[in-house]
Amino acid sequence: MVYFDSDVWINSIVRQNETRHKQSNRLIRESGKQGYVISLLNIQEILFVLGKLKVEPGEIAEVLNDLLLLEPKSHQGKQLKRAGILADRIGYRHINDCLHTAIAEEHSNTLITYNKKDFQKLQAETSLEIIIL
Amino acid sequence: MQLHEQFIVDSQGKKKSVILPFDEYQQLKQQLKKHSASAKPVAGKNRQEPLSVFLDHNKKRKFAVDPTIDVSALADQVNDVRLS
Repeated sequence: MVYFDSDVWINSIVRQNETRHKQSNRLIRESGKQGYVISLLNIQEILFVLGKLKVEPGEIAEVLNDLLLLEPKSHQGKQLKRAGILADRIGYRHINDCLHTAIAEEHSNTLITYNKKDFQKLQAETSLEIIIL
Repeated sequence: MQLHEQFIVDSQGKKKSVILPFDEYQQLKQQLKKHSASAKPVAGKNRQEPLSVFLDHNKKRKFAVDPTIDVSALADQVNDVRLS
């Protein structure tokens, strides 16, 4: 199972960087064969970014409807606790990335992201395969 | 399961290898085996269809995104919540 960081989903939805747009859509399409995971945290972040980009509310609602059909995973205390441990190890920064990692650990074996700066630190702390694009 | 790991670091202090007590290593292997055996199956047909719909809609979406905003940088910022 593959867990995509929010930046992969966002690049798949928003066509600004053409290379990333095509790559992210291809990766998500291919993940359908081996199994993909999306979380409510992903969706929350995607909506935040679309709002920042001043996308029309009706269009954001359509994206939300599409994403909710992908059966997003929720997180609970167990994942927050694990995120806290990861955050402690990397200096209590980037708590959302730690939470993504904890959710991915629960539901998948691979995490894919464009975020090299932050996930490089987490690579040493998890048994997940973290692929930085 | 509590691990009493020790790390081997390089000259910059970057962790390179882990040393575990043997019994913890054995337990870890058993847990991994158990986890692997209970791994969920790949996305079923009912999860493939909404994914196809999402991807088809992505081809049609034409958001008027401010070209001065770097979408990828914005996506990184959303993760950049600092507790301290």
